[in-house]
Amino acid sequence: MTEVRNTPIFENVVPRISRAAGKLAIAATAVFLCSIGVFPFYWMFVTSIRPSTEIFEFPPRVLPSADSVFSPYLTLFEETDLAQWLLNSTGVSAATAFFACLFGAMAAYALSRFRFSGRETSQVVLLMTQMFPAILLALPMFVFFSRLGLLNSLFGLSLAYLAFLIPVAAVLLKAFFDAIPVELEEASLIDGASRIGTLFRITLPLSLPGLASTFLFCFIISWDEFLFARMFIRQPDNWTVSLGLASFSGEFVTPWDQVMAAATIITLPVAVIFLALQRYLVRGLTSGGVKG
Amino acid sequence: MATARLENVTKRYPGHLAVDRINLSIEDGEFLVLVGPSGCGKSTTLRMIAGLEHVTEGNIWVGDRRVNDVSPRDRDVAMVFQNYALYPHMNVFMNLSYSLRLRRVPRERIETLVNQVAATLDLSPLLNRKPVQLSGGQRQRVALGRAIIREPKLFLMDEPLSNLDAKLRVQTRTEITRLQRRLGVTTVYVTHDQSEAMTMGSRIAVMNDGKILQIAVPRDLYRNPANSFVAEFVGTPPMNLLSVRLDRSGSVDRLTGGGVRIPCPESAVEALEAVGQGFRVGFRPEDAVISGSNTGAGFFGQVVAVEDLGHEALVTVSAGNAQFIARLPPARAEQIRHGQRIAFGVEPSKLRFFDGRKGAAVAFPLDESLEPVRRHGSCPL
Amino acid sequence: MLGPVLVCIFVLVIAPLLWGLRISLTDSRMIGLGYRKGFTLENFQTILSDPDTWNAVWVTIVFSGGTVIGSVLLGIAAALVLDRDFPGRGIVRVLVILPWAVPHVVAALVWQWMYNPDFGILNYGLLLLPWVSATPKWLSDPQFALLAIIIVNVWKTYPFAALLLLAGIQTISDDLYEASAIDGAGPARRFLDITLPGLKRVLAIVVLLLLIWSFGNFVFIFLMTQGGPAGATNALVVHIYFETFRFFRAGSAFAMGALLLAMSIVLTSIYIIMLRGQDND
Ligand SMILES: Nc1ncnc2c1ncn2[C@@H]1O[C@H](COP(=O)(O)OP(=O)(O)OP(=O)(O)O)[C@@H](O)[C@H]1O
Ligand SMILES: [Mg+2]
Repeated sequence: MTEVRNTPIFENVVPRISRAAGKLAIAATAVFLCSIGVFPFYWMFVTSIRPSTEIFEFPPRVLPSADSVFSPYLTLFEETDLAQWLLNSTGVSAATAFFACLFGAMAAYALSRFRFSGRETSQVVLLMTQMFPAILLALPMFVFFSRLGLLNSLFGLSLAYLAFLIPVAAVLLKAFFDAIPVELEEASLIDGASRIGTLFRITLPLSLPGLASTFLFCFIISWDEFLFARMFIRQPDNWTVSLGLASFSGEFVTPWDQVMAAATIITLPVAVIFLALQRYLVRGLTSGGVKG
Repeated sequence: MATARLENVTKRYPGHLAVDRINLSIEDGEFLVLVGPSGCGKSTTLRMIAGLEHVTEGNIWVGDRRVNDVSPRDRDVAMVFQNYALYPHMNVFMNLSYSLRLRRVPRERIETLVNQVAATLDLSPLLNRKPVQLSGGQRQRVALGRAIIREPKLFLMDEPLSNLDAKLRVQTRTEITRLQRRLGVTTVYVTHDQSEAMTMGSRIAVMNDGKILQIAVPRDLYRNPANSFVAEFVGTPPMNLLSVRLDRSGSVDRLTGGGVRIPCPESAVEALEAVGQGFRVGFRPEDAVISGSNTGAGFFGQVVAVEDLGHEALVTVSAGNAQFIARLPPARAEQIRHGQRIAFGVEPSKLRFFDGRKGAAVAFPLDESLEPVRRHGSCPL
Repeated sequence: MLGPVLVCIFVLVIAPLLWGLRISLTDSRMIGLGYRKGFTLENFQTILSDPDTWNAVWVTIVFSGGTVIGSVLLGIAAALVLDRDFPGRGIVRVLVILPWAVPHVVAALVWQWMYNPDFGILNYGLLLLPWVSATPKWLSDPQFALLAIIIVNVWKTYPFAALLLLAGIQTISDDLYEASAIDGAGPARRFLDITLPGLKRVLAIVVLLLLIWSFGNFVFIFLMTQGGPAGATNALVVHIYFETFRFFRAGSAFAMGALLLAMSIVLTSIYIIMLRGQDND
């Protein structure tokens, strides 16, 4: 019992010290994580605006150069097909995302609203198909598509993307449809709307945020995709941004300023979309939908 | 305004019989309550009337039209859902007017009707709010408004009060019945709460396990339950029930079982003999008579609990293997103490009998002369 | 409505997978060109007796395992930080997620540039440390190449782990922490006794998803090392690709594909069973 008298001192001092230490640890971790997150982007941008004479210097300059230049950006558009690649990627990604949402929504609506035999199995199949390494799909498809004459075409590439994006869209959208109570549709039917009327007046307006997010997510995935594009598309005219960017690195002396400039341009739109979507993505991820 | 009729209506889900050949005839302007425990098929029945579920067998008539294959939109019924099902992307005005807009009612007429309904239900200041900006009670009123604005043939309500807190629930009960009486619209109301059913319904259909067990006005349901399930389901606390046999060996015919003996009313003996050995006897808590001595019809028991609820008192008595509950005026219960040994009787005319296996009530002629002198107030305790 | 979609999926996904299995049982060489022997197990015999295959399997396992360990550790740290309430948390959250938002090809090239043995910022940074005198050649050094790629993959995937784990941490009731604090547990004990057990299921899902994705990761290795140096980063996916397009051994490439398929089916099944279990809670 005599030792008990000492405890108040510890009670006051020890927690205070450990709490301060805890705060310091948290702050240090936060700073570390932020810097590893940001630094590569910083370095990408700084390199892209560095005069090419300064790029191959050691030690490298950490701060942006005094005479920063934006000429690499101009060079990209003047001397490479970057504009064409951006156009190709936008087209492929938008078309893919649109059809993935369309077909995905059909499947998701059926899975969410109708009870039928084979429903569980269909759901498992949808989940399964997103989990296989892409190359397992890419090789056989490569053969099929070459027989069908679909290689080298953006249409063929889009079709291949649909193979794994329809299931992704279906799983994501199902979570959205599930969140819309069936009673809303039933109430609308009783109030005198037809099934189609209910779809357009109730279900679609309510799932608009879900559709938009799913569209954007599929857009990002298509934009980012590399393996299929690399195998299917040979002609530089038809390259997507991933292919175009990758093509720089094989050259004898890599023009790092241009590579980083192109990387910056390619990253910007999808990073913005991505950050806007991230909260919703976590939900989708836990429901088993999303490829990272 | 219309009548509705269900004829041998059955709903079978894969591997599950949800509604089993029910017959129900709903009169013009009446407030019929479907009540029963969870999962007994109330919602399914209601949804079949609405057209949201397909009828497996049987016929449903609204007015004199057979509506089995009529889509919900053409049945001219309105429904209030348990979770209200307000369209979240529309404000109150749009929610209320949705059905009118679908029917292409002229704009001015819509405005008039919405304003009328909003005034009736105290919603006028809320017309521009979205459902998320409303309280539970307000949402409930919008749901009601959406149903009454159409002047449909039938109102269908599926536990519309179960998401409200206790006080609001009691208040809304009376509002709904008043509204229904004023509009005179035939209403089918589903609830699992028997006290809600008893206070609201002009008639009540008790369901269990997909079947309708009894359809009656509240008073009949309470006094003369058609079977032991209804007896136990209706009333709080429920009817006291005890498995007994008829013992004719003594000078007086008695009902014995579980260690107690109750004198049997003469008029019931014949009917009970016909049933055979296994049956149950039941009586309402307020029909129990507690007295100090074992005079008249009764037996001894020990008090195991006294609950004074203010307006009434419930005394639990244990006798043999059985326990009974008696309802007394609180003043009388004050004299009763826990552990006390007391005499416990029932007015014979208030006894009800149920077949031990099937649970059906055993009918017998009520002999008024047997009713003993009421001893309330003069009991020497 | 579902029917046409399922048919699509069958034609676009399942048929190719089955066809791939079929090819793995032939003597096909050039991908897509004919084969003579109808059925043969030769490919499987060849690849199973080829040390390169086992090297590829080993690299895949190290790559995936390393990614999972790194991602989960960083992810837990990030989740614990983001679970705290402090000024600027929103910004920290965005910055933590940033790597996840960058396209794979961009990440590969930026890191390749940072790894550059002669002019790279990374080696410059290392040399600033007092005890470092020599720097590795990262991607061209067999000892460091795989580590370098794992680092990139961890960098790219850990935000995902962090967000899922954060969501998991936030579902753990505060009462539990308070109860254990009252019982006298310190922060470390609370983490071990409450946070970790509460995260068990989310953690399992994170581990499985990261494993599955790392198995199939192609871009980083293909762009940064092409499987080299000396096979040090030659994961199965990349190995299969080169077997097909560089060495024209489609039959054995598909046989390895079957191997990869088997590995991912096992993981995917576990994942789906876990997910279903979660739904039923
Ligand atoms: N779509 C369905 N498929 C299979 N069985 C169903 C389906 N819908 C309801 N059931 C079953 O039918 C029975 C009756 O359901 P119903 O919803 O009518 O019950 P209820 O009386 O309304 O109960 P509660 O008071 O809980 O709402 C239940 O056992 C239920 O499990
Ligand atoms: Mg119900």
